[in-house]
Amino acid sequence: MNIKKNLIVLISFPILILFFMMISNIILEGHAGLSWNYFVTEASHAGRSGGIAPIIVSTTIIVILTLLISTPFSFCSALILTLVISKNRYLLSLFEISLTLLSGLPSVVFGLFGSAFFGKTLGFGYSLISGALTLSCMVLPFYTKILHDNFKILPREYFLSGKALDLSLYQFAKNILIPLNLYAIAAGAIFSISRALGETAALIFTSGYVDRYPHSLLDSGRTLSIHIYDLALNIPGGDQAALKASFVFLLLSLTINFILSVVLKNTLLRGLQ
Amino acid sequence: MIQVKNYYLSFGKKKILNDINYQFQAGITAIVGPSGSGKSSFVLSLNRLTDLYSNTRYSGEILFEDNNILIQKKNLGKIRHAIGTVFQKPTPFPVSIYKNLELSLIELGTVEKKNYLEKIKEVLKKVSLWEDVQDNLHKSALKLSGGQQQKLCIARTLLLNPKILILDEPCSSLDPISTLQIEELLIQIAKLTPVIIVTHNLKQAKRIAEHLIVFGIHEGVGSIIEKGRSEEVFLAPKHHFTKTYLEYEAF
Ligand SMILES: Nc1ncnc2c1ncn2[C@@H]1O[C@H](COP(=O)(O)OP(=O)(O)O)[C@@H](O)[C@H]1O
Ligand SMILES: [Mg+2]
Repeated sequence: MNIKKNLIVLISFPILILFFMMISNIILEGHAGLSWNYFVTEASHAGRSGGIAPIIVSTTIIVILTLLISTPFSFCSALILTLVISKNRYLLSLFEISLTLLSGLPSVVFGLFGSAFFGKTLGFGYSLISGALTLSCMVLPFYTKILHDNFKILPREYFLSGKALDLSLYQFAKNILIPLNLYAIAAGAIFSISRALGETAALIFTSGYVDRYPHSLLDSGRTLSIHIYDLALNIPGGDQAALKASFVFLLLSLTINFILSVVLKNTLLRGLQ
Repeated sequence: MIQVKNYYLSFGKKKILNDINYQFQAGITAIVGPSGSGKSSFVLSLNRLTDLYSNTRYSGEILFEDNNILIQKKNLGKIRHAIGTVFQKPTPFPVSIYKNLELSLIELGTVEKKNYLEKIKEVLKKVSLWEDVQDNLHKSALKLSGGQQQKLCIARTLLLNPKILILDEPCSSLDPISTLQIEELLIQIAKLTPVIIVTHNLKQAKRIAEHLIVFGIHEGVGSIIEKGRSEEVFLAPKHHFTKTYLEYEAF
């Protein structure tokens, strides 16, 4: 008992230390020279100086677009899996395995696919919409899996009652599936947002890395993660700016998580009353 | 009324029901029998809800208003409205009480929207739920007690004006008082609409049913062992199995 307990502490200790080292590094070095100006001006000298206003705009647009695209598509895929494909056990396991494999695919593969399909075939080029569509493809398998796994464990009586009353698919989804699966949808949404926020490889070939304001959804734009990646890897003397952007990233992700948890808590609690 | 002829049912390779023949009649018909003898599968067959299970296969005839519903391709929704079903586990939808009932009216499509409230009030009175919920119509139906939830599920089915009402062990998770209230309700309903009720509770069957069907299992497949007027079967069961079952379950 004691040995096991000590072992757990021993293993978790280095992880904790590593975590605090990273966070403290970002906080200590990143917040230096941070001012209001940084948030409202454009970058200059390839990001070594100036601000990140356009980057925050592009990031927000891509994250929101990804959420808006991936949620309905994942919901519908999960619905089809549950209502139609599950009638054939072999087909269902085929789909389930594909979902698992797809969600493990490296994001750069989605980047290449997105650049070929959304960029070239559909003609969206380097644009926010290309990037968001690519990210949606990337999160779709896992998002679908989360929802499908939750639909599967619903009592069969809900589906039977829906059929017995001959409810339309729309009424069934709206009044039964969505209210019963708010937690799963929230989990999927948070997963989408965090993947979209943190992604670089899938975006470099699709939404690009232009650091000015995007003029439309068909214009290219740079997300915060790409900004950090670019500063840290490609720009000589960009280290300090990268830490500064990382600090903002931390703030942004904390803010989004905070807002989401407040919104979800309120809607979920209201829904269950 | 429903007539079942030479009905066989299997889920994939697993045989569930064997050669079922029965002519349903007015009043309350109770279906009893051991767990796994296919009672639920049988009543769900009567409006093809078994189609929702994977690899359902069936043969024979189930005649309702001169149509064999087993070969019907279109309008299954209409049939499911006409042959209403209430399930063992109360499943009010996770929306308000009002919305639960409104959904039925929306699907029915023959009631004008301005008459919804009146209709809903009427049916809630019928299932003796109005007193309990009149001030909470817009609160979540999940807040109701088990008995109230089941009454709501019955109400939601009644709104569709069913010609036959099926209930699959509706009282098995309810307290005795709710059970008695639901029995009262079923007796009222059965004056106009034939009621088919699956039950584990032989005393319940004795109390309310005019007709009785006893299911049994033979080599894993369910079939009808005995059928007839309820009091006759209870008094003088013809089949050896029925005798032991009735004696055993009476405890
Ligand atoms: N979805 C299903 N797939 C395969 N077999 C099932 C399914 N549901 C029930 N069964 C089987 O059908 C038989 C009859 O079950 P059921 O109709 O629920 O009986 P009862 O209601 O009398 O307890 C049982 O052997 C059960 O294992
Ligand atoms: Mg059953």
